Amino acid sequence: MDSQNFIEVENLDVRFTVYRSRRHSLREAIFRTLLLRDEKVDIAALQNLSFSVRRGDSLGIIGKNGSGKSTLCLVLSRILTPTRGRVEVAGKVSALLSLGAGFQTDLTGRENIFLQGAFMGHRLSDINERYRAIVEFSELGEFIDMPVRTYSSGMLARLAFSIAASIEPEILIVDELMGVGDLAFQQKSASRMKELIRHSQGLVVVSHNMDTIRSLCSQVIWLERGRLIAQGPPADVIPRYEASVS
Amino acid sequence: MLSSPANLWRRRHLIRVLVTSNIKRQSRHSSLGYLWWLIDPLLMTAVYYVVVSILFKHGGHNQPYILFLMCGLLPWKAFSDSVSQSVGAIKASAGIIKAISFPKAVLPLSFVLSNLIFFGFALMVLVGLALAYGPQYGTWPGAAYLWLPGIALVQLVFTAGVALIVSTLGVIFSDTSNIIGHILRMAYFLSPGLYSVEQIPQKFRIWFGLNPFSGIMESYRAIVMHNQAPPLPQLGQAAAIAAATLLAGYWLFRSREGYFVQRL
Repeated sequence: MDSQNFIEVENLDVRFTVYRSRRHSLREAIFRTLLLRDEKVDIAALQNLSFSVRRGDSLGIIGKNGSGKSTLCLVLSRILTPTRGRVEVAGKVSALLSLGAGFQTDLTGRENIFLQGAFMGHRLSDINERYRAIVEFSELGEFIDMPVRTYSSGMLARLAFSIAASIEPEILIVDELMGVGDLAFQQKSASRMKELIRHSQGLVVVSHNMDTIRSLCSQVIWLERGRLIAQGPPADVIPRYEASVS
Repeated sequence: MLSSPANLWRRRHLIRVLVTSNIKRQSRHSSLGYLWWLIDPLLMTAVYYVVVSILFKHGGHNQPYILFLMCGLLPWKAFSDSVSQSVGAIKASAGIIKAISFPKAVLPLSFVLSNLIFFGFALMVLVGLALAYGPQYGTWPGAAYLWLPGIALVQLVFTAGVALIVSTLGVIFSDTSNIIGHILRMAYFLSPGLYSVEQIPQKFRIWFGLNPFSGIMESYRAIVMHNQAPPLPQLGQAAAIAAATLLAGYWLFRSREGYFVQRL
């Protein structure tokens, strides 16, 4: 990998096998092997994608729904193994993709903070250190010792964001997420996001909001049906994308 | 992140938090809470005792039959609960698997470990009963109890192997959860849980030897009922098959782990 780059992607292919009934059952498996009938469909989520991003640049990913933006985030965060190709990201990646995904509703907010923190790879002592700041930021007060199933959706979002934002990311990957909760918390979480972004050494942002992309990113890639259409500074790429949509 | 031993060790904090979460969740939905750890093994033994000993008037030459039953039933329950919880372990965590990169084997393994802890408490009930039967049958705890951790280790290795296998199958075939309960019940009756290995006709015994639980159950009985060292040939065979199962389970899990995200 070129030491001038923070992301290098070369000939990246991601193919999904989708089964017609979504999951294939034992009966189907037996039938398939007996009749040699193929019930699966291959879908190419990303095709022959190559690009690199220089250190100091921050990357925005744009494109319509289903163009492969989120799949690319999953690959860059090392959650999804690509079918083919080389993907390198210089540094420890922290991904903010979907918040609160691992919450266990029977456990209290406090217990979920430890659970999520552990999933994110923190040691218990690290979580202990951050615990007070997380609770304070979430504004949950005494609710923190109540089971999460008693929370309103706004409270859930606040807790999830507070845990996710307690990181000190090297490389930050954000998928459609700038502010959550009610208006006051939205402003607070948006400014916390900006702070995280300022402290990160590399940034990847997926958004449908072109103003967000313009304000945060110095490089943009435009995806369409899993293929790279254009890469360049926002001032070049965004107008072309907007023209193609309207 | 794949479930290599190094990665699992790196995420030991996660395993620890998952195990405590499992335990907390299971005790939170009842008013007696943690007391169920002690009541549950007793009630389960009582059910089999009534059916086998009182209704079928069986078990006469394995006295005291309650201890005999528990030595088979308690490790089996730890195994069977681990396995049935592992079947859906990956699917139930689909959300977090798509959001954070971590070694997925922590999910089934945390169930195996939390059930091992429940088993530890059940063993304490068993030892209590052995003391209670002491005056009548001479089942006093003694030096042979030092073997217990070794037997538990064989049981743990086998359980972990099967848990890795079924958690992989649970992702690939959605019917695994429907069938696993029946397989487990059948397997219990084919293990020497209600009867002893000596009661099996000689020509079938070789097949029973392939089941690690034959060696495991007979070992617990030798220790708890007779204060004797476990039958080493049977225990050795059980340990070898358990180790092979763990290797097979690890290999299967690792070979499919990369595809879990796509399947969920």
